[in-house]
Amino acid sequence: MRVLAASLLALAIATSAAAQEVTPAPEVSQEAVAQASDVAPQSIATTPEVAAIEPQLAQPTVRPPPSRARPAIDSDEGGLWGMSDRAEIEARNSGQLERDPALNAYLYEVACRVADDVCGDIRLYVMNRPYFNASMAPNGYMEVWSGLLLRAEDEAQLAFVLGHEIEHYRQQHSLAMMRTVRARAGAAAVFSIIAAGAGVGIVGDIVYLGTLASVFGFSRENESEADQIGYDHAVAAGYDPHAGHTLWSNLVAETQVSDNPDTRRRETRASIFRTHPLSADRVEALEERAANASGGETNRERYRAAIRPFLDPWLRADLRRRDYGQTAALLDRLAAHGEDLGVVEYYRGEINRLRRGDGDRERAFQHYTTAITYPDAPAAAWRELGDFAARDGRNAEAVTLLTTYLERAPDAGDRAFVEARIGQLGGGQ
Amino acid sequence: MNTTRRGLLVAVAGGAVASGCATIPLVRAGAYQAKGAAFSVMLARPWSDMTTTVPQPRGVRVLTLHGLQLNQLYLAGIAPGGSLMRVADRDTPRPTYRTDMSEQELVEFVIDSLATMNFQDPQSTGLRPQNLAGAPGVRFEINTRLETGLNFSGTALVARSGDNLHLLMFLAPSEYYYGAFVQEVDAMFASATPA
Repeated sequence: MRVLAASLLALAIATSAAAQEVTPAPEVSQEAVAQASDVAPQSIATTPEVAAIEPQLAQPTVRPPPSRARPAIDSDEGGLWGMSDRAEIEARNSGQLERDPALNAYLYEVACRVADDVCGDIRLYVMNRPYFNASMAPNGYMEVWSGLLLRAEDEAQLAFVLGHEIEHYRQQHSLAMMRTVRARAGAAAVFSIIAAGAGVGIVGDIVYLGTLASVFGFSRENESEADQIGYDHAVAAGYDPHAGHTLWSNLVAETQVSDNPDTRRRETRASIFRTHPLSADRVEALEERAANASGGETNRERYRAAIRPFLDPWLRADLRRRDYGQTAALLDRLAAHGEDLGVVEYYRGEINRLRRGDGDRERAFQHYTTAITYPDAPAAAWRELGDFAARDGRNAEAVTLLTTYLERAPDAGDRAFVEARIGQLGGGQ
Repeated sequence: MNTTRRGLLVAVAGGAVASGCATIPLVRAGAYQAKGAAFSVMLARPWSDMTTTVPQPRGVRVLTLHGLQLNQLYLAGIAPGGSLMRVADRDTPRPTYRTDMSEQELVEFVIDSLATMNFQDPQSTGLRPQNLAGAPGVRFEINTRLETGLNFSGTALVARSGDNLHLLMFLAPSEYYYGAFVQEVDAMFASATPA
């Protein structure tokens, strides 16, 4: 069982190299929507197995031809494609799938720009998961998670990550990983069974960990390779050469301010298991590479416009992780250019409201108060301020704020409750 | 009982023990007080208590009629600092109940707990005042999805009792199962009385 888990885990890592958080086995959804208007018209490149049950989803009407043929079903690579097909079908039906056509079209366009010769292979799915991750499976299905989209500051950073994942795909790292795992897991399994039978479970654990370490060491090389060649593709596509190391630096900084000790220890644990290169190593290598480079586009404003409609729900999902340190760091980056400050200030208030540490109540009040000075403030900011006023005995002000909340959120799920409260506060008279 | 039959029973029992089978207690129809909750409800039919099969935090019990994928009934009495679900390790943050929560925050506690249980994008609707066993509380509906994409609906009632939070919550697939049992569940919620 453990060896099987190791194999699955290794496969996940092979195809999800950029993961900085919990990363389940690769899944993807078929949602590639973009219109690659400058490429030759082709049929949609999907596997027959996936297409057979494909629901009516928006797809690119034109796209380049696939770069590789489907491998024979009786080969190990064919088996890997079959696994990828099944994962893709699950992703396509997943409750986490983000189906917004405009967002999917935009991401597909960026992916194709860095994918170059393998653009026609990509089927891209956006998944609403509040962790930093992207992956590309051997059959061409690609996942991009909302936690990544929240954390990339601009299109160049997104392009770097997608280029990284596409490089795993181009180099067939998953196939190499599977063959390595298969070769190593067999011997480990035998020893593990022997150890368990002898009643020395801890020895089995050590074998298991040793197997993981050897597998993950292989992954480490793949990660560096994907970083470097992914960088080349992103820069060749005209993107800012500093995007990669800036993104990794941001992630390292965010990890260090996590409220979760387990997350803060992640780098140390990674150095033990060698699951990924240390983030600091990767930052340094990319920084060195970009040192003498200049120019390139960030397309920051275009990127922000694409994700803006999702800031509120994605930040809510991020906040539900209850890692206030990480969410606060994320909000600081989102506020860096003075945009979306109503949403940002509201969620800063939310952090303080939920955390309830010393001085948090006062800070929450200040953030909500600031939030409502911006036109993009969520209606809930008025409700929270109304709650503050009611608790402080400022009933007339509470009634005004709660009434404003209901005016701004006419379909609020708590309307009846808030109306009852307004009545209790004397506002119904 | 002949020797062969006895041997067979022993073998079956031994197999069950060896395979680590856990028994699923049946909760009979009638008045039922969940362990840890200071209220009781009237059950119109027998339910299976899954609490030992899917370990829950102290004070939380989960019953089902046809399996947890088809219907789940939560009955809970949660102490301050307690949570609605169990997480993998102590470092993993999870929503916890606090005595100074507002009514909306009690709803948020339930909704965020569902999100932590991997229900997708859970949303509360229809918040309204309703008593739970005589204590003023909040009733609301829930819309969410499983990770596999199956739509789920739910209804919940939360109220404070002393320092503890009392909760009744029913969750089921939106198609058929929720609608088939929601009236019965509604009556059950209304039947709650202090124990």
